[in-house]
Amino acid sequence: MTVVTSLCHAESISTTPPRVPPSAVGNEANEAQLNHARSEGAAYAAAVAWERDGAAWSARTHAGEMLLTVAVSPAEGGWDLTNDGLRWTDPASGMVHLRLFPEDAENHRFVPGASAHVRFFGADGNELGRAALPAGIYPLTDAYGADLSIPTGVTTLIVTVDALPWRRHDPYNGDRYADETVGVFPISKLGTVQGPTASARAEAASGSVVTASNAALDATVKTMWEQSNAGAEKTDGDYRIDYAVEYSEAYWEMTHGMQHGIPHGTPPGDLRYTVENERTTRRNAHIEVAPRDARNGNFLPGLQVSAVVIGPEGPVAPPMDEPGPGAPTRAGDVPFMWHSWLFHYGQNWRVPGQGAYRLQVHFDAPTARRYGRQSGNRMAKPVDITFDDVTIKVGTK
Amino acid sequence: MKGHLRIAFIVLLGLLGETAQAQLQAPSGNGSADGPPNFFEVQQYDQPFAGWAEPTIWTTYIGSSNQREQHFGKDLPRQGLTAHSIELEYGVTDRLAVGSYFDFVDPHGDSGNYTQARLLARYRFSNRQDLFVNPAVYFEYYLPRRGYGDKQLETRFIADKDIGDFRVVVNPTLSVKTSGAQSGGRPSLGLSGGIYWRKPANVQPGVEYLAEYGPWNHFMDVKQYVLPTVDIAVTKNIVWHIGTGFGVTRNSDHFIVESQLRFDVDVFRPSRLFGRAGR
Repeated sequence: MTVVTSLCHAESISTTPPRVPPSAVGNEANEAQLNHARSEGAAYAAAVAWERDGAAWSARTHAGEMLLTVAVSPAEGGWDLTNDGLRWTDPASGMVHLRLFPEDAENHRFVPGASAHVRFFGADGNELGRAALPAGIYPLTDAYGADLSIPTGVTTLIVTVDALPWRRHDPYNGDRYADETVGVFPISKLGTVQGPTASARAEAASGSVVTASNAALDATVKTMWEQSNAGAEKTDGDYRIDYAVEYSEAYWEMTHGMQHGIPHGTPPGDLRYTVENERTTRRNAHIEVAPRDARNGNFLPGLQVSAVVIGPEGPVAPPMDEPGPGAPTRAGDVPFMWHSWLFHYGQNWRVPGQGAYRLQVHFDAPTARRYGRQSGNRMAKPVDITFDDVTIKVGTK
Repeated sequence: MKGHLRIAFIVLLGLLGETAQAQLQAPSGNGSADGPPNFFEVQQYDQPFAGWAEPTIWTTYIGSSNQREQHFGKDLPRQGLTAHSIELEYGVTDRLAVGSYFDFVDPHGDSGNYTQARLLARYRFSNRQDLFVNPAVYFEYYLPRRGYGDKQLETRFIADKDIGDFRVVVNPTLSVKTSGAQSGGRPSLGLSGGIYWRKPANVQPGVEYLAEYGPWNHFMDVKQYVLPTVDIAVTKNIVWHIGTGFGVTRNSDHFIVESQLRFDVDVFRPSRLFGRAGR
């Protein structure tokens, strides 16, 4: 990862004032369901603590609506997706691996689908460099990270997580991550970084730190199936694919200023709850897909998921959404949807009526780098999977 | 959620104070509001989200009628009457909402007046789709200006069911006078309901039925209307519900036009009102 040098001054940047995002019972989440989110978060927080124990240096702060943990460990190398499959790249010399673990400050769940960056500052406050921290697929714990060179003389590390561009369910709890989140970390005690990589350590891990996250998410998915009109899971190679179908529902969406992948520093947008989605049956079902890593059960963010719903008369496509942050760009796209207790890819659909349908789900192999020399050589193939006899009930929430 | 309750309490106190003030200042008279209704309500199951406010501007125009309006002691024709109401509803919780109406009546041939306030509270017993029929209860307490009519408590039961692209809503209603000569008398029975076609996103036709049957066990003076309606999404956050009503009994107005302009306002949403840390 190349560190780009530019000018900025550390004194002009401070940690985003901490606040606790909402956790309110409503039509999208009851207390038991919110507790599922807390169980997922507890497992994630425990895994982050375990990762910190093995790091050469780490720090943690409450910034905005997130708890940001940064950890430095030996450079990893990684598996990258190419046209010929996955290819291993060794780390360059002189690099370290820097990871960011953003947790929700209320329930401690990982914040998926974000765009994260790091900047380095010297003692004089001048910026020494910056780098993107793309989402990675790690053996154990979801994180954003990269192999990079930390410039000489760094005394302050500043991490930025852009406002989440994706749609969010839940009229109360979806009202979060609308602003950029900044964490400022003094880093003067960073010494020599050596030893086994964090991923090698994670590959050898055992016990609850390995199983808790998967178990929590399994429980959450089961609860979603109980609530929804249909749902099931299939395994395909390195993936587990869960789906659920609910009534069409509203969501928050960013109103301006946000596009996925834009550089940080963009003026914050605002969130608007799309009440109009609940006024009409123009869309009358909600398709949810939760692809997971079969190895550790973790939800897989960053995918391009699409679906085809096939009824007795053939495929039925939803009406196209207005263009906007988090909106599908092609018919059949099922974009990432933040949810108060089960992250998924979701889209409101229009089907002709209640009945049994077939649901075809497709997504390409993740483009994110896989870490872990032993375990990372996986998820190289796309997924095309069909769920038969999917009962869809029509209506709005 | 305590913040929401605080706000609701303050709003209610303000309304009571305003109403008391209005009663003290109002002219005396022996008018009554027992004629045909001035506002044609089919109360829906949905309510503002907790912490959200929903203002609605109601307007009714009596296009053709042989009925009379008792307006602060004056006996006036209803034909040409225009009635306005400003409603503000506030979601206290996801299930409970409170609010108020301020009604104004402008009869043909006389000056318009503020006539009454109405306090409302509604409670939903479930989330939509949890039960076979979505049940809610809705209370309205009428606080008329002195000389306009009697205080009364109206209780509506709301039953709502989505069938495919259609929504069916029924409001059986009981009204009890709590002041005046008829205080403590037989409750009056009413029924309103509607069927709405919800498939179109921006223009949704419907038909409503509204009836006031009069005191229980003494169904004289029945007023019934049938109203073809349409809901127009003016913007994503503004809905205009308009309808033309036709009286189908001899005690009803012949022809009315109703309009409700509803604003789904999120400026009072919790994060804006209390900050994200305040909940």
